[in-house]
Amino acid sequence: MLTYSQLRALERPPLRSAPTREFYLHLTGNMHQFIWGFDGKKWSESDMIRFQFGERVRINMVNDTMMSHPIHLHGMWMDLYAGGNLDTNPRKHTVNVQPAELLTVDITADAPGQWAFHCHLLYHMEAGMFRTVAVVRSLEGGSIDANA
Amino acid sequence: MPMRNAPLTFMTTVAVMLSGQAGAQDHTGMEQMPSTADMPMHKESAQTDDQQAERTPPGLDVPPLPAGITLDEVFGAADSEPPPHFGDPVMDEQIFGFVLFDQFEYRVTDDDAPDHLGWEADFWVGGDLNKFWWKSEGEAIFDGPNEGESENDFLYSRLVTPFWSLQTGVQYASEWTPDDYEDRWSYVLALQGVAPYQVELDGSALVSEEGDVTLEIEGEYDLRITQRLLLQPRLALGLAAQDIDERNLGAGITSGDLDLRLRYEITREFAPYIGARYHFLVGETEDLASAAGEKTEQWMVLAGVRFAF
Repeated sequence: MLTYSQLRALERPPLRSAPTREFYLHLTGNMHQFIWGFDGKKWSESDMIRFQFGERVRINMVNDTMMSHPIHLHGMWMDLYAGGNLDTNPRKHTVNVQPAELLTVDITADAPGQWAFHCHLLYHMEAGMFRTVAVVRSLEGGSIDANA
Repeated sequence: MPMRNAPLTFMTTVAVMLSGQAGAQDHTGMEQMPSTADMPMHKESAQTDDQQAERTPPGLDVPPLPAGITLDEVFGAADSEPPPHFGDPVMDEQIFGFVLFDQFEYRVTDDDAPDHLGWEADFWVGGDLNKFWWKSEGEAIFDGPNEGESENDFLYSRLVTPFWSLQTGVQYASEWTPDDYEDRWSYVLALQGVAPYQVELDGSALVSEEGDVTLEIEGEYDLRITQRLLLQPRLALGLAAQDIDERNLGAGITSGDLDLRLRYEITREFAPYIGARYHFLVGETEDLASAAGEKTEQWMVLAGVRFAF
């Protein structure tokens, strides 16, 4: 069986560097009640996730649910930490996070604006497993309510 | 399904990059970087990158800005709440409703007691945590005198843990014969949910208008023989906290129903079944019935359909 740890980029993609910031993001939900979200909140209850333009940010995703979730980021690549070094980590726009798994991605925030970040099981997305990612000039200032 | 993420796609159309602003970024964020000591492999991946040892922001390509939009405007829009006329990307606060007839069946008794129609149904409407819940159950003679009984619970239901809802409200119970109609209101406090191993449980404590306290407990389990064929054992018990003369109930466990149903799910929403029920009285209630010359147990064969919409 092939796993993510065997994936390698053939050539070093541009914009590779070590992360300057990292945070944890828990994938949370309840199959029985069909409640889905990140860090225990669905989209309408959440603030935007903010990236500073130009930063290299690492997200450690922890899947607390009993389902696999394909997590998709619009607008920027997620460089999957696959056990290698930064030269060979593969680029993904969607990463499958297995139940009880810790999965790490590095992102170069090279696209200003607001972007969708969500589980690509669309029923989960519609139930709230969705965040707005804002690539902003500075992380100073208050958080941004996604559902104003 | 149309993706209603207009605010996002709008911003993305003006997604621009300018290295000047990125170059102004300093390294002040590094002191706050959380420890990865518990994940040595992760730490290693960050440290082996000697090509970017300085951890400078990467050099970003700079595509031209669309006419009439400045980079400041793009950052301003990115750092503010979406305008009110932008639709929500996901509709995650919808109100849903559900109707489930868990039992809708014809029950044939093993003696000269009349056969009857029985039902047990749930109706709910609400959101993730808060629901209005209506539970209805009862039986009525199908072919013969107009006799029957029913219990209807009207409850506010609040999800208190991932698998358990606390419910409170009122129950309207009624019994009727061709020349009599009796009814009773009770206050209800219920706990409904799924126990480990997917055992569905529903317990209700009732306080009637007369102040009598009773308890109803139901448990059922779906044993999957195949993906479509299920065997469902079910046990319902009634308890009373005191003797209730007018209802012929004695304190303690009063009665029970032990059911077994074999159902075939043509779809999840439509599943015919056959089964059997053993109805029995217990304890003082049984003694009361025996003294009055009534039966204290009864077997029934049943057939019906479970459906939902």
